[in-house]
Amino acid sequence: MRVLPTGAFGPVAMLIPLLGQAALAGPALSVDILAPMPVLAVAGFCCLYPAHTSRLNPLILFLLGIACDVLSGVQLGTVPLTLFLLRFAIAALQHRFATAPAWFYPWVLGPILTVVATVAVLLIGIGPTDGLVSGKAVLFQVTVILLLYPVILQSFVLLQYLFEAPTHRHEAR
Amino acid sequence: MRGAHRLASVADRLQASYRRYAAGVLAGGSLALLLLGQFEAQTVSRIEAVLLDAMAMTVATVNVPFERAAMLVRDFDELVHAREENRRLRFELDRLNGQVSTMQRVESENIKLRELLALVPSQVPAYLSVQVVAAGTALPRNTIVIDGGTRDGIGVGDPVVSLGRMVGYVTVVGERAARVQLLTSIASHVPVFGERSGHSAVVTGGQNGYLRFAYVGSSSSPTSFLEREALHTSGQGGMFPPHLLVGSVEHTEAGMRIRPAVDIEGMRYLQVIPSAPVDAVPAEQLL
Repeated sequence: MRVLPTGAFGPVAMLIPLLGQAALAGPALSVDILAPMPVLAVAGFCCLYPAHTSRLNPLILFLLGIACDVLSGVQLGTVPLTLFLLRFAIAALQHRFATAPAWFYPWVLGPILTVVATVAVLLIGIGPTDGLVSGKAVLFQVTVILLLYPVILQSFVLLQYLFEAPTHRHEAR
Repeated sequence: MRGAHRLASVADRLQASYRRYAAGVLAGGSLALLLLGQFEAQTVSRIEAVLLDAMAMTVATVNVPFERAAMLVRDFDELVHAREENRRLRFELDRLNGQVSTMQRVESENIKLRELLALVPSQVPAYLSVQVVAAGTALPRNTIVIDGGTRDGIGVGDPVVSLGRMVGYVTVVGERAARVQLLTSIASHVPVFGERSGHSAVVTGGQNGYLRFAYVGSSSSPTSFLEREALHTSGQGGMFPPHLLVGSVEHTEAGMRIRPAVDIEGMRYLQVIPSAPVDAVPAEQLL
């Protein structure tokens, strides 16, 4: 039995990191890692399910990004632009590394792109800080994101096993 | 029949165009927003205020189940420790009963002294209690979102405090929600004066959650401020009311730094001092 239609898996999966963060942060939604969170979700999702990359609705990405911009206080447009660049980059790299083994996308390309995009969000969204953003702070944020990466990836797999038919799971991979 | 077929064909074509161009158009839109923010800050601020209203409501709704769950855990914890808490409260009651007579004597003495001095009571600012909807402390440009807006009389520039200690000030305000720039943000600037030295300065956000001096009055230098000296808002420029505690000065090997008076971590309720007259609670009732 398939509960979710093909196109709905991506958007629903995008909500997992945000809801997980809301649950962990408690009543007042912490925005410390809110801005890079959709970056983590998109990079993880697209690298785990390359076939789904083109199916991720651009409007969903745009709205998700704008919501994160507003709540986290970074400049409007930062997160959606990063998400689109990430999506384009993954699509282009799929052709470049077409012969790479299956584990290469989720476990090598995904983390690399996540780190690059997270740093991009910090640099574009905050702007020049006259050296007040210490390298230690950026490193801390990147480490947190990387530690969360496998958790998010496993939650996607779990979600797919719960909601999609075995034949469709095979097709997505 | 043919009409329906044509309609379906047009819909298919539209869907195909959407699939092909939507990502590019929306990416362009994001870039345009980013650039607009650089050149038309006022317009973007207005857009942000509208979005902030919508987002604050959504986040508050999403948070409801988590809030309930946290409350259940808290209730259970209180129940477990009820006996111990009772014992502590009884002890506290005995101690406070002993202090009542002293306080009554001091109060009557205070009244007599005020009469002797013919003291005019100072204007106590009114406060509005607000809830923190979204908070962040890791980024240097830290802001929080509160659930009060123009309909509550909150305006841009209104100071946000926690029991008389300054937390930040409102930068973007929607109808139901507002964004608050924290003192620890590198974008904040607050005029202050030293409680003991009397020197004036402007403080801004520094590294690791501390504040730093952005500007010090011409007749002094940062080292003129004393160790552990309290810094209060000076009220210069008329932006903020005077005498709100901002932080205290610390001398370190690397130089001077200011420890903020409020640690925003985990705070759920704050107070806004609205510039517009509203039905707000006088500070004395809050303290």
